[in-house]
Amino acid sequence: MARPDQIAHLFRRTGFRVPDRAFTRYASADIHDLIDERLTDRGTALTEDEANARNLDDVEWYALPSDFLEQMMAPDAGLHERMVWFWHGHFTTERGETNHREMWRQHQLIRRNALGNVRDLTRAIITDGAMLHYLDGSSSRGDAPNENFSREFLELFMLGRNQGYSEDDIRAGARILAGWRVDYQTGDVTFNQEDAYDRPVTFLGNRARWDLDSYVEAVLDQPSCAGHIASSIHSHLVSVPLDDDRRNQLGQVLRNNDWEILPLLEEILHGDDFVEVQGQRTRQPVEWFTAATAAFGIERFEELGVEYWHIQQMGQVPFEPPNVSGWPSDERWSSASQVIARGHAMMDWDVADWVIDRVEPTASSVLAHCGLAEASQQTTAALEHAIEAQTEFDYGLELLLSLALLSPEFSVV
Amino acid sequence: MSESFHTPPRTSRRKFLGVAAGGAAAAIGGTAVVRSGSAAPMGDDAAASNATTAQDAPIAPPRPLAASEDVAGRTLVVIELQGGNDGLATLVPRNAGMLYDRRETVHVPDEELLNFTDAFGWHPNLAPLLAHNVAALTGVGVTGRPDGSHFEMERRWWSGKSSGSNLPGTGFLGRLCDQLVTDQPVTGLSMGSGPSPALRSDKAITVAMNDPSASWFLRSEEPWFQNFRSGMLDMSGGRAPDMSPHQSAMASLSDTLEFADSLGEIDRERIEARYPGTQLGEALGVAAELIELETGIRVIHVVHGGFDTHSNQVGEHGQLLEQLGQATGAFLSDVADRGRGGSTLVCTTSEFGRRVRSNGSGTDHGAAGMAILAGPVVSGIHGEPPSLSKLDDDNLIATADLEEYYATLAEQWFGIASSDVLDSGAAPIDGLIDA
Repeated sequence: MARPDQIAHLFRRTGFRVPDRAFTRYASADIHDLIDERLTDRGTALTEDEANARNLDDVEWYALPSDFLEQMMAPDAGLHERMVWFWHGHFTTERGETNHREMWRQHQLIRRNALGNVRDLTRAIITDGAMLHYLDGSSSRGDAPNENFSREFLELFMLGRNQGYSEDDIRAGARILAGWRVDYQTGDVTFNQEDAYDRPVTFLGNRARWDLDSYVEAVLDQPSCAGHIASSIHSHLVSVPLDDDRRNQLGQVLRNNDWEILPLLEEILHGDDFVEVQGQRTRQPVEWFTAATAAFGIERFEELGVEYWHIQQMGQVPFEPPNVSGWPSDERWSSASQVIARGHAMMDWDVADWVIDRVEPTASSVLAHCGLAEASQQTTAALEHAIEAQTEFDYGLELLLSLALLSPEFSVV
Repeated sequence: MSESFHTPPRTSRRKFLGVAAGGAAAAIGGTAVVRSGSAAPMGDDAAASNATTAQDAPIAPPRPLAASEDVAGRTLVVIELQGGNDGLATLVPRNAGMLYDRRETVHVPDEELLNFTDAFGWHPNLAPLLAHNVAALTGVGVTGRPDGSHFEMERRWWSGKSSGSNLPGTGFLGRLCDQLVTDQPVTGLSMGSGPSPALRSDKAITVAMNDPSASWFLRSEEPWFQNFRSGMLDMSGGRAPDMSPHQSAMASLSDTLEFADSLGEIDRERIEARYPGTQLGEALGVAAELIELETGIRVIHVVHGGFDTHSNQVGEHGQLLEQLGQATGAFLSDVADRGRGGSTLVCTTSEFGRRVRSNGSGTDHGAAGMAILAGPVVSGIHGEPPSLSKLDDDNLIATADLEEYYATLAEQWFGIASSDVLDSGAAPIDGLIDA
């Protein structure tokens, strides 16, 4: 039997929010059956041809983050959407340093590959127009190599800091990857032989004439690579420390399955650490925002009335990470500035009629509605006390909702 | 550049509460935030449009400013130039033909430099800052083994541990706050997207703030809001070392309530009148207000990001220094007018400098950098300039360790023994701060 806290945890981590009435709906289910069901989600993505056929003049700057947020806010957003968000923060690109058309294409690339194969995704991201602009690949030449991408690719994306590469490998990688160009008008990416490095170079211990495929294979073959990627995904989904054995084991799952992502997810989600450990990570603004809007009954971005200003105040606009390492994952996301920004956002939102009709203005029904199966005695008492001083004619439901969504329990996942 | 690059007009509804929000109008208008580094699209046009012009004459040096006697009333403002500031393009060595050969495309020409000595001149875009009392510490960085990674070097700077090994769980600025804590609510403040790891403390309360006027709902006297605040208080908890994420969230609720009243006193009109409408200008304007309100804040940390100038350096770096010069110039004038010039020290940090040789249109990650200090400092160039001929893998070799720099701030600004806040107990650099 799945406990309510396990149900809540599963939905928060493999999607963005606990579905309406989940505790009663899934009360008699086995938690591992529910996990298997979550693993069947494939989400939605345009094919490469469909994405290429899109007229990029129609892609709007504002719509980029709000469309993504809306997809995360959707009631059926599941594991696919969760992994799109993971990869978006892993293979980071700041849209302010590229252009939003290329950013849209990169997003489609991630959507197509989020549950696919690490090798395919990696190869595609290296020659992605937005990434080439962001980490300066598009201005790197064989005779004037730019090290930006080469360094971050090894350090952040693939291997981990100092895990099997040297400063010389960074400099060599910059030469190997030189020569890719992006057309500013069309966003098309081409390889320009004249800008490439045309000699053999020693990279990760081998002297050779390299190309994109051999470069990617050499990096994937590094002993640290599979463990680094597997532990990044584990950290996002589980967020408890990983010992070396488990890290190696998860890496081996990736290698044994030729870098397919789904078998790794199956292994991670069925693990004891996932099923039994909850509330170990501070809820990030995007996670808070999608779950809090759901509790208000808001599903469309335009119902918020204020564009993406509130999420900007919380410091986590999709496509605008602070730097190439993506968004941090620690207690800074529950600081006083978050409390103010989150409270301020809720003062601007209207509770949907169906929520007003269905949810009683009592502490227990509001906590259940917000997916808080495990609220502490202190939090429950705080809500009970607040509603005693308020009548239902004075926006009691709004009071309880606002408190529940600022509670310590709702601030962690 | 298309219209869509600009921030949309904002509308706000408050239907459900029907309450007119006092501070909200100010929160919504007036903050024309310029995101650093978002100048896009890239290319030479942007560089050309940001080209700076030479000043006719060096700016007259300001009068020396002595530090206030009252050490307990002093405030430190640290501006982190995130991404790795190019020291060689900020405080530029003059008559350095060798430097010109290696970085022709990013070099700032001698004739554009300001307040120059025989050896150095300042980037022209720092003019508003140079109207104040300014010192430079050259060659600051890691004197042991530096690293080329942003994240590794940030961790060392944030924690105040130059070697990068055995990093403490607190930040250097947080440890300063632990020494400075009084019975007032807040000792340290981060302005930006969240609390900086540099301000992680053991017992002092350090908070992060984006837009203080968004906190109007924490001051409204309507009964609904009073109930709301009681509920927050009932859910909250105290701060302790090694808190779980849950406990941390409980403590943030009480931090917020403690601090909210002061935020209501901030004079937005003064900020809008005196500061540039940039993110940094806005942050420093709020910082000056909070210093004036005597909330107990002693250490303020502000991030000014975008210095990772691998490409299009001349345009982007010039723009960042222009924002830095305007905002710090406005801030120093503001605190001077408030009679707090002698008790406010501004200084910069950056995780590293940049490679001596350019990569074409920019520079890659380097090693030693430089720091700017302004306020009650001994104006001029301090420290031993790093050699331009003896390099380590084409990188400048640090002549002053970041821990020596930090020891200077601790001992000579706050009167805190270096060994109380730095494991190494590094020695301070004399003659830099006029205290």
